[in-house]
Order: sequence, then structure tokens, then C-alpha cells
Amino acid sequence: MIGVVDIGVGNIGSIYKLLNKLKVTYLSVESAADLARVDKVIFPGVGSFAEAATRLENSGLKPSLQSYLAEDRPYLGICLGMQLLADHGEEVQRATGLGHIQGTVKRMTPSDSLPLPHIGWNNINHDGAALFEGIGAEDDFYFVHSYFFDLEEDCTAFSFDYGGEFTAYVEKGNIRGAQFHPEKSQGAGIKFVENFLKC
Amino acid sequence: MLKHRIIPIVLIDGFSVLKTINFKTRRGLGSPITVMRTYETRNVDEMVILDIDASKQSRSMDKWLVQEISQDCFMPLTIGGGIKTCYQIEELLEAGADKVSINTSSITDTAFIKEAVKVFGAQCIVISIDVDAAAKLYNPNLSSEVTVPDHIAMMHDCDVGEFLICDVAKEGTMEGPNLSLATELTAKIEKPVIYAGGVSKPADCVDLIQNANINAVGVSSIFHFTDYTPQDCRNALVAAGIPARAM
Repeated sequence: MIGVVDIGVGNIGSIYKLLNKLKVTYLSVESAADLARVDKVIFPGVGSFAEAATRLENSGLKPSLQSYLAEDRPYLGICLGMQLLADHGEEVQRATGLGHIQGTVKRMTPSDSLPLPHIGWNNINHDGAALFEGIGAEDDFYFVHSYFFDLEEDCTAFSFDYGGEFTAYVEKGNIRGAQFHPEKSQGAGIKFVENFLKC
Repeated sequence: MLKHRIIPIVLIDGFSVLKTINFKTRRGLGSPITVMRTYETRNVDEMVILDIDASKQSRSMDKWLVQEISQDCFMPLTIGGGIKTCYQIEELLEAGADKVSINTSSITDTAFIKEAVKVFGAQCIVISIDVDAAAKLYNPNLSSEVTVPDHIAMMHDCDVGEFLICDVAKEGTMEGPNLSLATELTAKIEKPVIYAGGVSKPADCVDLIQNANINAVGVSSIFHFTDYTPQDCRNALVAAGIPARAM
């Protein structure tokens, strides 16, 4: 069973739609008891890091999610769900994340005074491995964010280019995070999520 | 490299799609579901759906309609029309919207815009600004003395995510955009800009992006009424050396 973490931030409906299209059953994870019933977790989210961190604390889900991650069970964080893997976030005010992958979520500082948020379609400097199997180097994914995961740990990571290189994807064991929105990236995004469901 | 976007803008009256000229003359175009499906098969970069009667009729866009529209839609979807509260935004996001476009309330209630940015993040909040031929704010629902530059500055203070600027005098006319107005309006904007109004052919999208501070071009009439497709517009961008999604 796939669990979709719902702490009331973001585009949860879009994930459900994609899972419906892929004909998989899923459970909305809102408590530790829900989490115990699933064997794969997708954590989507848009919004501010601080708000999500507070909601995660208040939901009572945080400790069980941290032990789920510590057990290296399959996890795909999307946007905020990826950023929350970090130790800290600096959006709105400094807040504490799940602390599974060392690093801080910082405001992007693109050169050439490119505007933020980074909104739109961008390609990823990936090597075609793991979740990018069957996805071309020129395929674009949809991004919408101003903050990025500044990694301080040596793990598999791919970047995108926007006046500098920023983290697009991170992978540590079975724990994976995408800064982009596969659920909004048409064909390539559907393929990406399918690859996660298969692993 | 980030691509420039071509975004179909779909207007509805609460039920069905329509196309206006200068926001006045209306022509009905049928079901929003059908229109969305067509764009979905064309792999468009993003879609904006605006309920142009919502504010006037003191309602928000129907969330059930949004849910139905978004059901088979795997591209980013921005929904606008009559949004006044964070609760409405939450409902629309739950129904399948990714971003919301706010026009009237951004003029009347900046505290709400600040709150919305705080709760949903800047990337979720698109501020829609309609501008008339004299470069003044166009909003038949209220009379405001606020100038366009002041309003844009105020929205920067609120740290909104994106601007959707529409030139009402050109809207629906298919006679080519007013490049000098586009350049003037977007010069001071430090956020991504979607600009709409008057596109008559794919080359107009190239002109807008090359001459003004524009990240995405909103297009409507030529997709409804001519042979041009969103891909024709993106191909024109690529041919001019502007990054766009090649298919």
C-alpha cells in the first residue's frame, strides 16, 4: 500500500490523480497509525518550510516518520516533502526538519538577477539511473520554488541550472527527494513516479 | 536551462468557456472539460483558468468544476476568480489547482495577500492585473485610485510569486500585442511575468519575450479560433533562439 502524507499543505489532489491514473491504491497518511499500514511513502507539498515543519510537529507524525526514514523504507519527497528531509529550513523563519539528510534549505541566489520563484520547465543533469530510467536528458520537469536543498552530505544528487546549479534530486538509500513536481510534469513525471512505485 | 512558457488562458463564466474581446463582447466555446483535454493532449506548459464573473457575482470558482477539469490534467493549473479567503484557496488546491490567481482582492485587501503568501508560499500566489489603454488599472468591480506601478510595488512588498498582466485594449483582438505597453509595465517587475493580450501569431510571442521582461506568454484567441497550436508558438521561440520546450 502506498501512503501519501497529508499535513494540509499543498497540492495533495494532484498526487491522488496521478496515483489514480496509475491504478494504484493509496492511503492518506495523517497519523502514526496510518503510517504503520503502508510500505511506501510519498510526501508531496508546496508552501513554506516553517509552516510545514509546524504542521508536521502538531500532527504527531514527525517521530514515526523519522523512524520510518531511519529504517530506510521507500520514501519519495516532492518539493517540500524533499526539503523537509533536511536538518533546517530558512524559509520565513528558521525551522527544524526531519534531519534525515544533512543540509539546510536556503533561498536560491541565481546570478544575472534571474527572478524568483524559479517557475517553469527545466531539464535535470541526471545520468539516467534509478528513478530517471527511461527519461531523456532533454526531458523537462516542472519546478515552482524559491528555496533549495543545500546538501552537506555526500549522497547521490542531480542538479538543474538556473543562474547556477541547484539541487533537483537527492537519493540516500531508499529515501529520495525531488525538488520538481513529477505530478505536474506530464509524460516524464508519470514515468518518474512509475519508477518509484516499481522500486 | 529554464524554458519560456506558452500558457493558454481559458475564461469561463462559471459554467462554460467563453472568449471575450476587450473583456466585453462574449463568444461561447462550450465545455471547459473538453477544452482542457485538448490542451492536455497538446502537452501545453501550463494552463490558467479564470472565472471572469465570480467577483461580480460575489462567489468563488466552483471547486467541483475545478475537480472535474483537473481530473485528467497533468500539467500545472492556475485557477482564478473571486478568491477572497485562505479557506477558498485551500479548497481550490484540494480540488486540483496548483496556483491561484487573485485580482480584485489584491487591490482591496493586501493583508489577505500577505496571509496567503505566508500559508501557501509565494509560489502559489499569482497576482492578476488588468490594464487599460491608458496604462491604468482596469477593474469594473471597483473604483480604485491605485496606479499600476504602485500596485505592482505593493504586491512585491507582499512577496507574491508571479504576475499575470493582461492588456485589456488588446485582449481578444488578435491584432498583435502592444509592445511598448508590455515593456513599460514589466520593466519594474522582479518576479516571473505572464503577459497576455493581442497575440495574433507565434512570432508575437517571440517579440514579447525579446522586448519586454516576460517569462511566459498568455495566449487564448489564436488557439480557439485559428490553426495555430501552443507547439507552433514554442517552435517559433526555439527558432528565435529562446529556450522553450521542444517536442
